[in-house]
Amino acid sequence: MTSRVPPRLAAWLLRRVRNDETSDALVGDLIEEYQTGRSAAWYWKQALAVLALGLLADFRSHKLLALRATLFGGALLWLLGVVERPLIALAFQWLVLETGVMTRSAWATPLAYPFVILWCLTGVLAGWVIGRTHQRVWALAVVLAAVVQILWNASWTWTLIVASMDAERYRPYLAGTLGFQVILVLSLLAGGLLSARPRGVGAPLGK
Amino acid sequence: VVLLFGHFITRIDEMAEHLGTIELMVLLAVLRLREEAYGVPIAREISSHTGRDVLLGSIYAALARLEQKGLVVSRLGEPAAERGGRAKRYFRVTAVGRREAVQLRRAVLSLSHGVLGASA
Repeated sequence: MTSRVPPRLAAWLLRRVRNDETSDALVGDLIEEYQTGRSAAWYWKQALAVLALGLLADFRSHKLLALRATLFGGALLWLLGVVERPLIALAFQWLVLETGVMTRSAWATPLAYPFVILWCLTGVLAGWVIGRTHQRVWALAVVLAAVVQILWNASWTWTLIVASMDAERYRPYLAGTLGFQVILVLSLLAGGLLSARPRGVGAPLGK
Repeated sequence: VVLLFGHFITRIDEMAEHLGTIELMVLLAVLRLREEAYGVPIAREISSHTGRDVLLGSIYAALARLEQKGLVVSRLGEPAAERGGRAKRYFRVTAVGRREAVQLRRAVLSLSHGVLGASA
C-alpha cells in the first residue's frame, strides 16, 4: 500500500495522457520517489515534463500522423467556425437586444451563459473527435489542433491588442476574443482527455 | 508549421547521431547499477555524481533513444503495490553499448588532454 497519495490531478493527467507500457513504469518510479518525501511541486514538475517530453517523442516518431492530425483538426475547426459564426452573430444580436449592453461585454451577462456552455460543448466535441480519430497520438493531435486555433486567430488578436493600447473602447473586444479563445482551447483539451482510453492500474501490461 | 517543425526535429535527430550528455550519463549509470538499473536508481546515481536533480522524464526519453540505437535492452519486472501497482522497467547495457561507452570515454579523455589541467 502507498502511504502518500501523489497530487490527484497530476496523477490523473498522467494516467490519461501517458498510458503505454513504458509510461506505466515511469509513473511507478514517480510514485516510488514521491514516497521518499518529495513535495507535491516536485511531482507536478516531473509530471508536466513527462507530458511535454511525451508529446515531443510522439512528434518524432509519428510526423506524418501529426501532419494529418493538424490538417484534420484545422479543417474541423474551420468547419465549426463556418457553422457557428452566423449563429454566434445571431446570439449576440439577441443578447444586445435583451441586455442593452452594446459591447462584447454582453457575453459576460448571465443571459449569455447558455451560449458560452454551448461553445464549450462544441470545443469538447471537436477535441473528442480529433482525439478519437488519432488514437495513437491523441494528445499530440489535440494539442496541435489547439495550436492551429491559436495561430489562426493570432493576427486578429494581435490587432486587438495593439488597438486596445491606443483606445480603451477596444478592450472589451480583446477580453471577449481572448475569453473565447481560452474557452475553446481548454474545451478542445478537455475533449481530447475524454477521448483517451485509460488502461487503469493493475490492468494487463501490453502494447 | 508542422512540416517546418518536423524538418527541424529531423535535423536535430541527425545531428544527435552521437550520444548526448544525458544519454551518456544514463548509459554509464546503467552500467554502474548492473541488475538494479531502473528509473529511480538511475536518477539518483546521476544526481549524486552531478549534484543536480534530474527529470525522470528526460531519463526515460534518453533510455528510449538508447534502446532504439541498440545500446540498452529492457525488461519488465513484477507490479509492486508501493508503486501504485506499476512494474519496474529494468535496463541492461548491450555489448554494443559497452563498446560505445568505452569509445566515448577514450574520445573525451583524448580531447580534454592538455586542455583541462589542474589549474583550469
